[in-house]
Amino acid sequence: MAMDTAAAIEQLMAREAIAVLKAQRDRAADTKDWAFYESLHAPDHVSENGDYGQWTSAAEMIVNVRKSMENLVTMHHSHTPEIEFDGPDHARGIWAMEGLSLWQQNGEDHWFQAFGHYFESYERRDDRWVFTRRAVKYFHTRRSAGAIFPPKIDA
Amino acid sequence: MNDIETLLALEEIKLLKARRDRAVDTKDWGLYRALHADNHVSHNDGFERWESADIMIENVKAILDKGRTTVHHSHTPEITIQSDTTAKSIYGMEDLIFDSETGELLIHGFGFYHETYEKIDGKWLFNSRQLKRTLVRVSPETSKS
Repeated sequence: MAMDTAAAIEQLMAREAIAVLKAQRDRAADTKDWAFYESLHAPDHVSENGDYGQWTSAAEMIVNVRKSMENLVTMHHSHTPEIEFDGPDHARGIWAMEGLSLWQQNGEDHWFQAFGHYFESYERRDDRWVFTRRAVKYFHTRRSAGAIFPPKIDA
Repeated sequence: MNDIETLLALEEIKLLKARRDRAVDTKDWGLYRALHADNHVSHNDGFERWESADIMIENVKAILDKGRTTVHHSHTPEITIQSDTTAKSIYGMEDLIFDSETGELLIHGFGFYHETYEKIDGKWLFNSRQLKRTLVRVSPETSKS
């Protein structure tokens, strides 16, 4: 086999660590635990999303993510990862995702649902895996009639 | 296969499955075809058997390529490695099929994929798939007049 035993075990462990990192990010978002959310990302993390453009640091990301989700109840579910390694400390992942946001608008219930994929990069820094890049690409979205989404965050 | 080889094979099969779901939902038919052995057999509830990967890809394209937006989500695999080059699995699944033009939800389905895999030239590939449905809801959001 191509990989020696020690390298194989290290990669299997890294795969599990990245899966836990991903699970923690989804949980941090949905429980609005912003300090935890930020701690999962490298300081120079880059976010790219269709709704809001690019953010080039974890600090910028957390200010905006927090504002965007402030008035939402969210569900982020991630499935079936494709994780590939570029060396022992660098990896890329693609995750299938479903997102659901629920909120009130002028006293009425509204919702937005998205299906797509996360394209992410990870690095092991100081012995810990962190996110270094995330882009989300939706292939299908839908919303309640009259829903205003995404929420404005530049005010 | 020793334990480490088994763990690596499980990861490769899970990666294969993830790629298949992404390929179908992004309509990447070249990738989809490449994940299947030439002699792949499909046997899905509601459809006849497709006896090769080429027949499968023609049918999948005809059904889904134009006018349909799909979501295939797979969960909680039960994978059994049977030999150095063969394996089988059961995956929980949920799918949604939308009319791409109107946005109408046409199908909301649930069930289990029963699949087999073969390692050919060092790569795990699908060699059979059977979708067993537990529930198919047809146009569940459309008000019936």
